Amino acid sequence: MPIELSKIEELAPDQGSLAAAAKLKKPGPWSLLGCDSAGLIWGECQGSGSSPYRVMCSEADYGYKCTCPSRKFPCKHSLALMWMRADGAIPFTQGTAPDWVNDWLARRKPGASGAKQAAPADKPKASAAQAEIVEQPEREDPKAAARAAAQRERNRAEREASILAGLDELDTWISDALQAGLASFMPAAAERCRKIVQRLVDAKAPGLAGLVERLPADVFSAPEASRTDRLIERLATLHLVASAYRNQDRLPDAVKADIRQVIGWPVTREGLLADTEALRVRDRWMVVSTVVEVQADKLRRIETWLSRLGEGAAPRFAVLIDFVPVSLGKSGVTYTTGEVFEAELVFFRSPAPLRAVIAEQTGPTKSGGAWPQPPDDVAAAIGRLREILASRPWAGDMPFAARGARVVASGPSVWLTDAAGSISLPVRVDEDDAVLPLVGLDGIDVFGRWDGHVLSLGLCETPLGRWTAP
Amino acid sequence: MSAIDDAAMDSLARSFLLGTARNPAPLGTAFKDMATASDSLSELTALALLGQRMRFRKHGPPPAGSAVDVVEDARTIVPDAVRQRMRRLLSGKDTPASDIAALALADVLHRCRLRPHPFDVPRLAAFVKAHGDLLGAYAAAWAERGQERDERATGYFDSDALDATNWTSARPAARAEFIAALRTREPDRARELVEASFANDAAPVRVRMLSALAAGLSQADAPFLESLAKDRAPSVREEAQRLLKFIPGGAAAEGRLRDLIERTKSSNAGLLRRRKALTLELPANLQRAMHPGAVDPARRWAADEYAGIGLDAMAAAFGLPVADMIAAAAKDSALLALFARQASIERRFDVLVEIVRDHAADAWIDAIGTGEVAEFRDDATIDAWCAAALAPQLWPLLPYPMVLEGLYRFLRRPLPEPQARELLKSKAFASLRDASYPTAFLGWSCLVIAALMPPVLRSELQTAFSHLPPDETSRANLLLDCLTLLDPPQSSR
Repeated sequence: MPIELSKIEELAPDQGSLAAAAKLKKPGPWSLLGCDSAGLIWGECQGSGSSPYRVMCSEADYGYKCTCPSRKFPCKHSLALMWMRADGAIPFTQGTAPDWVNDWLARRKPGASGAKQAAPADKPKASAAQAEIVEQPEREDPKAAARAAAQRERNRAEREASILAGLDELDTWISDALQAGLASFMPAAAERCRKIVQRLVDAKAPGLAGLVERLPADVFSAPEASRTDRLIERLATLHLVASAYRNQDRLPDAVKADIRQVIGWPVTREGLLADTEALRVRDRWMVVSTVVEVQADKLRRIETWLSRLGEGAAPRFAVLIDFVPVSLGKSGVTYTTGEVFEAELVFFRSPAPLRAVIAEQTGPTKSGGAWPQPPDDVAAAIGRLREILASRPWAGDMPFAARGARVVASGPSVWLTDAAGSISLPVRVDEDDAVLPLVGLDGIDVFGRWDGHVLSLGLCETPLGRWTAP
Repeated sequence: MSAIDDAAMDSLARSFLLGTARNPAPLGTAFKDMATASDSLSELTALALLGQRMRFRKHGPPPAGSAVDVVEDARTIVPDAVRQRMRRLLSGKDTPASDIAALALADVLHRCRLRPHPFDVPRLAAFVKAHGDLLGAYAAAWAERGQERDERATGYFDSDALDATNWTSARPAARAEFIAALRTREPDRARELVEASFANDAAPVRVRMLSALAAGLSQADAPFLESLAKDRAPSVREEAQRLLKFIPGGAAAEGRLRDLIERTKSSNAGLLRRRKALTLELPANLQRAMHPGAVDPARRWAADEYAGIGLDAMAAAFGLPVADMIAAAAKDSALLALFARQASIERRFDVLVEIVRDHAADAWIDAIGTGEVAEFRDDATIDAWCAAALAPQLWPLLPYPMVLEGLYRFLRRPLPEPQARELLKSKAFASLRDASYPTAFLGWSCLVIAALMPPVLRSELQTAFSHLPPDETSRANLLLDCLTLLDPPQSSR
């Protein structure tokens, strides 16, 4: 898969990096330029340090790594390496990847070029928080293993007890809020939430703590008239999650697994890949939305929403979630809306499977054609949201795909309706007003993320061509 | 489990809002029909049920009054191939929307009756805001979005649809264009229309309308312009005073003529053949240009101060024919600048060509002045002016990019092909490849030259750019690509 210049431009953190990379686009600074048949390229570039920087890149998915200390990602060296490869003017020596390239490859997510050869050592990216790999020692003393297993079981039991205690505190906290009145809760919502968040973190329920942490911002982002309803919904969801966790033994396996993830029990990537009962779907996937959010814990949460292009039973959509430290700057988004790749996805267990990881990417990432028209009209698509909600009442963002929609405006508000205008969903209008050009267009095929209150559009096929969220 | 009615839910929500300590939750009432005993329901369970019910709320039609407020735009949307290039060229954080690339793109869109793709308009917000008038009705409406409705133009008429009855309802740029066009045909009628609507316009619009009257000034305009000496806006007063200077035979012009004569020293020069020599005495506080290629403040001062006095009037005051007056000022760059400006104003391109070819190849810099609005509104006049004023093969150096940019802002279109071809072959253009050319100006100069290049020579220019550092020419090449896709050479259309 040849590297495309347009993709390099998209990857560049700013114009200055591209300009700096252009100056390195000559053989002089490069003491080594190599490639292999699996789509890996690498090079050594003499920088200001005493030893040259080692730069490597995968042509299949534009993964990259450089040993320079730059805080820009990708750095100018990575950009220059890709650029030279795309230009083709400077020859790369065909050969076997050096050890330092293989080391990097082994640490990368599977599915990248050369993943198969490095499969035994495959690890996810360090950014895949909550899906961290637990190193498995190859040979262990049986007694030590038994001791370790017993210790793990003790830790697990302690954590279960701790979480249950935390859930009790959460219920007490909600009850107190109800008794005092939600009207008096709201002015001090941030402060009140902060205290229970700390307790839930101490109780080792980080997922639930995150839900509470987002509550004030979520409530105050709602229109003033509907803030009470939003608060009731959020508190209700918290209690529902707590209640479901307490009764997890009475729940179906998928719901049980899901509720444990919501509470904060980690599912390791390795564990998920090893889970033979986990849902696996091999197909072509189109990126239909990307979301980057900075969390309070200084991690950048990167969501890549995928639409399945082939025929087949559910799930039709998937979301990949990565976490990257904010300190690394603008990095981590390796997919652009509209790109297509073929891969096997493994879904986290859930009654409405959505979150997944790439088990194996079997083809290169390409710019795809048109997004296939969804089978549902707006009303049927809303029906699907209800189905998801019925099976997973604590669902957050849900995929929404409908054909033949219209976008209308009412003052500063924008709504997605069916052709007859009989049913509608409010659409998020960000500061840049990017959705406004859709107003007035008929027959839009739309993909968006529905958070229960507002639809965030990701991709639309319209009579004027494709619209993608910025 | 049966449905829970709205009234019961409202009272439950009200209880939660006010506090269940004082307003106990009506659990029995709200959940009386539920299969489980109502008294076993806790407040928390009721909360969970209420919250879940809210999440399953029905979605009705959009609110009454929602409408599809679409601005019709008859222009053609730009080709898909150019969209990404335009975004790259215009949306970078280091690319001000007012720069020359943005202006050149806006001009070509206007000339070719094209408009940006609607989906790109939000991404090009700064560009659209800066050049909304040139980008079609949709972009204009977007640029004006958020302003008070009464400040917004009520219609988006194309200029050819305007007439004396509806021109005041159009956008300021369209109005100015209409007045300028009418001025060339019926100067008095154009002035009367401006005069009639003058009191109702905001100061920036009044300045714009006055500027549109610049062509064809005569004594008939003097009363109106003199009446503006008491206008409440300084910018309007200044513009009126500026225009008064250009009225031949006017009082303002006569006063300045006297001052010019007093400042000009006339002497004899030559040994074998005695001839007149004119020298302008400059104000003592006027600084001279420090760098070659930069605009000389003395020349600018002379042209700004005395432009508007007719060439014939000046020649008569000096007692010389026009040709001899120019020859007498051959050693005085300030006077030549004044004569070049005046020749340009009077459309006396024969005089202009004499100044440029015989005395000052860079006199075009003075001829265009500082105005950003093209004084010449028809292509034939622009072609004639360029043929007279621009002789790139005589340029000793490539002018600084800000000066070249001034040329583009004056023309608002590419150079005629002969002058552009001459520029490409000139020593001045070749100096871009010299190591001595200031690196800081290289990228900017390339960008301006790209904007000035006519369609037929763009590929030749790109070939010439290939000999320059790629990082300095990348933006210029991108602009050339965009321009070629939007306005291809005639042969490839």
